[in-house]
Amino acid sequence: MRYLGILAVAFGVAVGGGATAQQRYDGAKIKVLSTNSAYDLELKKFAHEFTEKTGAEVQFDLFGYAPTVQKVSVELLTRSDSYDVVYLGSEEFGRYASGDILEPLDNYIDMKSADVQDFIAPVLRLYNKDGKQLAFPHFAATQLLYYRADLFEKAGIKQPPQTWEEFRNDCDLLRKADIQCTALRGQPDTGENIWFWGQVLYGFGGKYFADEPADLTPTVNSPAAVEALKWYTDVMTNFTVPGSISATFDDVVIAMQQGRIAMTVEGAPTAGRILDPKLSKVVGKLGFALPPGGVSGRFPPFAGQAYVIPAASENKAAAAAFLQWATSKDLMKRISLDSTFVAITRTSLWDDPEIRAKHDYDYGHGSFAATYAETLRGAPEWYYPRIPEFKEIGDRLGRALQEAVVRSKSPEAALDDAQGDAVEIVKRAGYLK
Amino acid sequence: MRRDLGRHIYGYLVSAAFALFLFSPILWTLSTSLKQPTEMFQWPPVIVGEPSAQHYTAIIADKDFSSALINSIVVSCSTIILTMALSISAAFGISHLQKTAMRRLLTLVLALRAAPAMIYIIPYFLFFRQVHLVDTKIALIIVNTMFAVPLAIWYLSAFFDQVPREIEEAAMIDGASTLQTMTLISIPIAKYGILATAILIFIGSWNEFLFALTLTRDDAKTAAVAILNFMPFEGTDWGKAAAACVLMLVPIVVFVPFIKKYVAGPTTTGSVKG
Repeated sequence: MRYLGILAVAFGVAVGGGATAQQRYDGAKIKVLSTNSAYDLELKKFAHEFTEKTGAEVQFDLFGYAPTVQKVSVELLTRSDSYDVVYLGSEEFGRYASGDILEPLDNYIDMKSADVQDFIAPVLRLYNKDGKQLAFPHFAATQLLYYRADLFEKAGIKQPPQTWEEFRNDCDLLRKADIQCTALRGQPDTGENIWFWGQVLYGFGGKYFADEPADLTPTVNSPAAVEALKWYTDVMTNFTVPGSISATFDDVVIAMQQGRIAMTVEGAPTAGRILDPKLSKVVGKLGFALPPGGVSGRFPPFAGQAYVIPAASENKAAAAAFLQWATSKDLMKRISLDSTFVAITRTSLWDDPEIRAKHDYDYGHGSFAATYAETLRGAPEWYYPRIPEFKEIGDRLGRALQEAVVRSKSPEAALDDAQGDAVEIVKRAGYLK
Repeated sequence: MRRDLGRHIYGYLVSAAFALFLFSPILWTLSTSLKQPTEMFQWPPVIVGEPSAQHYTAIIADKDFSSALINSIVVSCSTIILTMALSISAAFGISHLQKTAMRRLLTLVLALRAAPAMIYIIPYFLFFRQVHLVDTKIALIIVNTMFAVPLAIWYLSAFFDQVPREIEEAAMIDGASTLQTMTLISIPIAKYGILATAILIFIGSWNEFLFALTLTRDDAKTAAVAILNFMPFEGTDWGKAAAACVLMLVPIVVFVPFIKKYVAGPTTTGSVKG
């Protein structure tokens, strides 16, 4: 009987392309839990179109970022059936990817269809577990190098830094020209200083684990990691604006927006804020480039935001149809044209002339949209290790970075202590004996 | 004389530094709430630029936040009523029965209150979901009351302890029952203590965040939680967030002087003639 059911689903997916927005779900009520970000607010605005097409009513509960993460955690871990579509950041994916918490979309949607293949491949893979697609991403985040071309010229810098060493040397040149070089994230948290840190660690040749996922022995205190931390400590101590030691992304964005620094490596989706014509003092002065790399290459940060269907949902088919519609190319384009949303997850939209016309900032020092698209293409989907315990390890490591920056410990000692705790965490989780 | 002057100066300096440390975030929030967006992150910073009420106007017009503010008022006031209804008689009883045993009971009651609220989150969420009370003000009132009652009993029993037994005994000799003694004699005498306790309960409920965050969704969320909605992923709307924080502070600023007056002052001076 069970096999008959599976066959029926497989037949449905093969013949009908799975759940579609054209299918009717009259009487169904899809409850969505997500953030109050630009994409979700727009989605709410357009949701009546989905209702007209399918008959399914959509109810949104949208919250600030922090409460959303907390609510998602409670709803998913308690296997609640209260929501049918739930927001999920890729850094949290590992926590919920196992244990039948999330409904595989493969049961409803043909993953080989051209529409699904149009998602930027690494962003889609962020939410793939053992060959099952557990979410569709609507937001692709990475970081770019934002730089002030006018200040670079004043300091005699010819081009944006390509490596972390060049970044540091350029800071030195800027200081000699009496120009404040940079602001970087210092707040100890997986989502703050560690989000920036990964690219430096990888660039210097380090990694978090010996050989993820086969060997999860932490390697956060490797010689390469120590070198990376010496670089970070040097830059944070000598070249950042006061307060960087506890700076969040918001502080960095404001420092760049207000023209207080010459360059930074910050979130690509924050360009709209940095260049907000009402607040910004740097409109027309910015250049955009790929984040620097190191001896091992360039590893731009990479994370996604997506919608999942809880396995406990009682409206899975309707929810799948909604999810497909909510992340569709057409809707994503309209949302992007109608708002500040630019973290596009569709390959084809990055070349769309209307999108380029709306969101491309190009002041003669590199195109924002082209740089963003290129960064996404080169960003590794394994940027954040995908084990549920990484958040805890990342937070601990974030503290180690801060300890080195405030000189309460040497870089070696700070990372050795973090290594000890990381080993404890992976042992407790059963990855190591 | 010189030594006294030195002590005074030292005392004032330490107090001023402490006050500055405590109040500067509040003053900064107030200043941010009145600034134009362009002045907010100006460098060097301005304390007050061109004062503007635009953030206050915006959050008052924001139906989401204003309904959350009303929810906070309803939940906090209901918590006071329910807590007082449950605590006054319990505190009166504890104050009048065998001291040693009752004090132990009081310590146990307080120990329950001292457990970190975090451990209750998931069980309470599951319970209230089971009884379909998630995202209702009733759930918050119940939880806030459960946490407020032990504290209220502790405070109130101390106030009832201060009521001179001679007065209560005189009432009983005149034929008053225990209930009458409590309602007609002890409560009126301890009324300022009861009022101060009610204010403390109000403040606790008004500021409560963890359960409000977990047990509410859209309909019952309180202002403490709604403030976070001014902090979306893309960045904080500092003007609105600051204005919302200032509005949240208003009841605290209004009530705190009463607590100082009634908790610090004796409740029964002159009740018994020597």
